[in-house]
Amino acid sequence: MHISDGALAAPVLVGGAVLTLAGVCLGLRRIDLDNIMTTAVLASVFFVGSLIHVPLGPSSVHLLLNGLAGMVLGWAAFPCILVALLLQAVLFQFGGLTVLGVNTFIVALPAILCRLLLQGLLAKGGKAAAISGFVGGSGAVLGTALLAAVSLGLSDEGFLPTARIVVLAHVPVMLIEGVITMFAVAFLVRARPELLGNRSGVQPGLHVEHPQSDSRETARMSILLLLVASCLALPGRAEAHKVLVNAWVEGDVLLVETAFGDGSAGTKAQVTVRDQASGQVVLQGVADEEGMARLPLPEAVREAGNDLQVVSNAGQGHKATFMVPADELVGQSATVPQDPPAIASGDASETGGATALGTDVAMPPGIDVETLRLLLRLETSRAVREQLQPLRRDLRTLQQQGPRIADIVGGIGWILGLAGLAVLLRRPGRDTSCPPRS
Amino acid sequence: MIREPFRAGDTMLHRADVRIKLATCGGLVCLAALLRTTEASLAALGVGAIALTLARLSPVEAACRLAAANGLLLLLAASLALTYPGTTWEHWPMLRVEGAVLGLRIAIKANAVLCLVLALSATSSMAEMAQGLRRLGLPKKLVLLLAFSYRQLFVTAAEWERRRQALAARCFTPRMSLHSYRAIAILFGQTLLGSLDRAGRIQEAMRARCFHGVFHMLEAPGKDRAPATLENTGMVLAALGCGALLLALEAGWII
Repeated sequence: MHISDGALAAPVLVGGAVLTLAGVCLGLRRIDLDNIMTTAVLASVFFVGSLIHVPLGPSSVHLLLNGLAGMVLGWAAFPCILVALLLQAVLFQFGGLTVLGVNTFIVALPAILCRLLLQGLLAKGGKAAAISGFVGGSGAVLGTALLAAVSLGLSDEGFLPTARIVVLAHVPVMLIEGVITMFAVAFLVRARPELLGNRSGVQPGLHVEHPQSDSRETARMSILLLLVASCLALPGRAEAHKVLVNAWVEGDVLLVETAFGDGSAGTKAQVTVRDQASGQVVLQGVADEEGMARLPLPEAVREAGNDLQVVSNAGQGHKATFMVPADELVGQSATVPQDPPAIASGDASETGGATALGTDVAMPPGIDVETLRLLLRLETSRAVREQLQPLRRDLRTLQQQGPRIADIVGGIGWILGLAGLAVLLRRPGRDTSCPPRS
Repeated sequence: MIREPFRAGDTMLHRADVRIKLATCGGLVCLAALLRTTEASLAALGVGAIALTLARLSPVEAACRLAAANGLLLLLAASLALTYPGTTWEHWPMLRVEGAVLGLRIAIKANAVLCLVLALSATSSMAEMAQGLRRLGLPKKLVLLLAFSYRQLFVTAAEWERRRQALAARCFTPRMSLHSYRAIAILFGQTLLGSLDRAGRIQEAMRARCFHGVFHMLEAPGKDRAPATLENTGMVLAALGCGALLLALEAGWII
């Protein structure tokens, strides 16, 4: 599974890197000098495994085997998969460098989940182990495909259809991985029963424990972790390019305002208005220097009484949509009298002052009380609406800024990253029996 | 199965210090992957192409690598061109203009990254790279893991190949059948177990040689710095210039 360079947004890349960093920290703690060679050999085995092409119909697919890697390696799968992906990127230019964090995370997390969930069944051996092999092998690929889809979707909502295709394309791979992992697990359980069921992950080559934790290394890793985590705290760039669109009706003009999240105006934005029901483009225009587009509403649009979908494209894929509900159009057109009663509107507005409410005030000739009341109500409601427009605009802008999935995922990344840091700092006591450094 | 065809060579890029190569590669690659404008992406591709020319890699090999990666990118671009929400192209309504442009831009950026990786990191051997990564401050265990995995890669690949050929000698041809899948799975399982046993032996051999975590090849003797040779300084300056150019293009200061 490779997401290529250049497709993902910066927050997703950083988030993936932070999560991978946390996972690698946890994984490295499981590796000591007695099993580092075993781990490295297993990493190379799974690297070779990912080069195996298995026939599928007229073509062939290459295996991922992350489920099996998780079952054998446990948490050490994180650094191993990172190393394997780095080797792939440098030796074959597969995958990519900037997406290394995201790719490692989306491959390694399902692998580890596989082990955590299926450990009990694997230890039973026999058919239970074989079945859990199938479940783990296919589940890990499914998890990887889903996480890839999520990272695409988080980067750009327009990627969602492509993400769906990615998941669908992995279904055959999933089945093959399941079958192959099932057979491999069945073989391993028979040949080396203690390999998959044990709790400690990688077995040390020699069973002598002397953890050497290097405090400088821990400190360096923590600093790195905090540095990357603090990158997440600078969401300015991503937020600056969030496009906000707002549209409202004033009289018979549809006003569309386009702005970026940092407050700068979306100048020269292409505004397209579609009829929500029929999907036809009813209005088009370009925003001015202040990001405002004034589009006169044709009578036909008002009479159709459908919701309007306003799409503003500020270029470079910065696009946002806003819905103008039908009642806003209808409300305005219905309250504006097409043909005012037989009075001069100028007179009405002059007399429509503070004194007009009382009926005992001397009336100008030719206007009865009911007409005046109607006119007043119309004028007042229009004035109130105009006064309220900026407020409603602000409200809508606020509503559009609710927490996005990216924020939530970023938050989880923070929590995990800090948890990883806490685990790092709580290092085991120094073992004095290890040989002194030369 | 695994070759490093780009290591051989004696160009400026081959001679430069591996740490500088890794740092410039990392910086430029991150910058190139995050560009948002087509002009800057094209400029990044230009920078990559120039680096590739300077490295004087075998054109056939480099083209093969680029072609392999571009197959996947083509799929991504096609999928985006057909599904990305946006205006449809007037001549062929199935095609979305924004999606096609985005797919193309991603492909350009990915190719720029590929060129930079080929020119800057594939021109060092993996052993040099492990040394460089350690000196750049990566954790010791991770670098050891990288160096050992790389070393064992060839052994494991040879072992896999040996077993596969043994199977092929018995007239096994992989087909889309349960039997084939079972054979491949068991072959892999055997390779895994064989490698595990070998790992135990290597571990014992290393212990017998008093290995206690220090791999002298990887450790920096004190505070050594990359020598200020023509290649090293030129490379840093060129990378800074290219980075500034890309940023200026991205911000719209030039075009």
